[in-house]
Amino acid sequence: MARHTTAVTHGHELQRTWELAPRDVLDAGLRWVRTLGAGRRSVALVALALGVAGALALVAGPVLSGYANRQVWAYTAVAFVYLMSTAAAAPCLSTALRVARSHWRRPVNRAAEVWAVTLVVPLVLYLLLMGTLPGTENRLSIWFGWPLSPWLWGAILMATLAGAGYFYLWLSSLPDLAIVRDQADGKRRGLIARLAGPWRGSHRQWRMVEKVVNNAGVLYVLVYVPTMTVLASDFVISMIPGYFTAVFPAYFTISSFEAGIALTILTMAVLRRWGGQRDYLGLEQFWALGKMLLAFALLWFYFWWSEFIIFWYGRTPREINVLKYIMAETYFWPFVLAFALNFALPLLILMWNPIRRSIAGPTVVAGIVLVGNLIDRIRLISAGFSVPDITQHELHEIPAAYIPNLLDIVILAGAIGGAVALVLFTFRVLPFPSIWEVTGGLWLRQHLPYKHTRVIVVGKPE
Amino acid sequence: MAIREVLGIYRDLDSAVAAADALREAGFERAEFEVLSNAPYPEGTFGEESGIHRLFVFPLIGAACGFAAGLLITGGTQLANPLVTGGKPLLSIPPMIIIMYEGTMLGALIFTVLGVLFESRLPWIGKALYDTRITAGYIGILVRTAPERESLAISALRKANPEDVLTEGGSVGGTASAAQ
Repeated sequence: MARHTTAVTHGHELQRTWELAPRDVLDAGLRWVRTLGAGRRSVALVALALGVAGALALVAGPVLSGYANRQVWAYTAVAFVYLMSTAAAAPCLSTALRVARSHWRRPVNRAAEVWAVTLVVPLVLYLLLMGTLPGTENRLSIWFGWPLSPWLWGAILMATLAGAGYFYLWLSSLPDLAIVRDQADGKRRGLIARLAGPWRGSHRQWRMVEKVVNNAGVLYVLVYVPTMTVLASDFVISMIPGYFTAVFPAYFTISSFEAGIALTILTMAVLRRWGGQRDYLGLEQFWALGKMLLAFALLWFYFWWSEFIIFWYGRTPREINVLKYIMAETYFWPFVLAFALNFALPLLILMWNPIRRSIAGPTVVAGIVLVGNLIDRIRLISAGFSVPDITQHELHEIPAAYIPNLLDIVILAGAIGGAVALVLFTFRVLPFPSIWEVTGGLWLRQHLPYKHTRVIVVGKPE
Repeated sequence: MAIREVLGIYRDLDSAVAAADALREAGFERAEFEVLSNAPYPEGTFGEESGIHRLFVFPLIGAACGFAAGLLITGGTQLANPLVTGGKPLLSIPPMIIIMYEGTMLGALIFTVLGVLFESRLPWIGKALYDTRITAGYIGILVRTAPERESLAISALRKANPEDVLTEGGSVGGTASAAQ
């Protein structure tokens, strides 16, 4: 079975990648590792400095304050949940693209799954935040008062997710790490040689990687979804008395997928603009992901509406108070912004074909969605961490909104900066694009004449 | 039985396929040689048959073990210490599901890692001829055979215009050097 791509038809443009030789891809990947531009270095250092500042603020603020006042930890929890909603969601997109087995995804995968390297940050933050989570006895939660819940079982879930993420990233990078081990200068060989192990690229190893990398990704998604469900319960639903909802965990997970797609698009745009990856990240990739982003923006509305309509028509004092607290009064403006940035603006922008069929359009919307997701997480987590007594059956008095102080902002910026620094330092040893995946695609393509034009035929061996 | 290794290095795909064909014509079984490359070729490019692998077994066994452990921790604990609370059923199913699911996923993950290490022979504890030119885009044909057939392997590999032929003793040269 073959797929045809014409030069320019119905808005499709010829993907430059298919014009390249395997040697070009190898050279590009190695050049990426060997030459660390001053720009990349300075951004990495700034991100690292932010990360260090965030860690210091975390110690100076919440850690030294202890766990007596949960509100002090609100923005640590926001940072944790935001990273779980963006960086931890991006590898799920990579898995979905692999399972779909399209060729255009070959350069995209690494831009998505490299974010798995940041999973250590939310894992550490979760371990710190465990102290803020009260035991589940004598209060409503997903755990029904199970012994050692939520701490032990939540920690096991988080550790499993981090393990699955690192395994997935390592497996998909293994062949390229072997290339760097053999071809890069000696300075980085020690670490890379250990990570690449004795990979030789035998037929048996290739067969194993091609099969297991998909399975590892699926395993990651299978852990990610219940983890987000548990986090939605532990950090939001069970923290707000009277917030009885079965839809929220699905909303929480779907909106995280939306943010994961947005993060991947933004990463691609940065790699294209400042990373010299125009040959690999073109219109085809941005257009395809733009469609997915639009679909998930609509899903954001669908899940929000499904929950809202129940509370709206229920109209009991319990339901009215919950709506007032997280949407209509206390966190009204964060809610309006979250609604606009996660759903309304993406819909109004991406509904136009010329904008969706561009590189700038999906990139701008991706930035909007990432800001919208942050505001949404601030709204939900601040609300969850501001209720004085979470053992009540319903909210009798609506708490005041939590206004962040300077330490909170530094903690949030530091967590994001630390994650970005991890990605940038990983890219010092990990080639972009993925040499083995792009080369594997090039070996399946052939240039053929077709009437008065020329087409590229890309084979699908499966 | 002692095994000797011979590694032919080829610049392009056509030469490497020709080398695989030459080895088969010389009487070498497909199991006696393997292809090394820096990117995956479609299954069957070198005439190899789709082999049997047991990768799918590992996550299944792991998931079963994890599920059993989860069930033992949750159900076993409650049955071993039967405390009826408020007339409710002894087994509290919803939290049991979460913990059993966690166990299942953790078991599947751990066994998948073990499966990868086992099926791909990582870490490789035996000796194996290797050349860094393979990760630079060359294709290697590695023959593992009896010592008395080593020279037969070398001559078969040389028929396909190799860049180099390596034995455990070092390079014996490609076609050009062999002719000199």
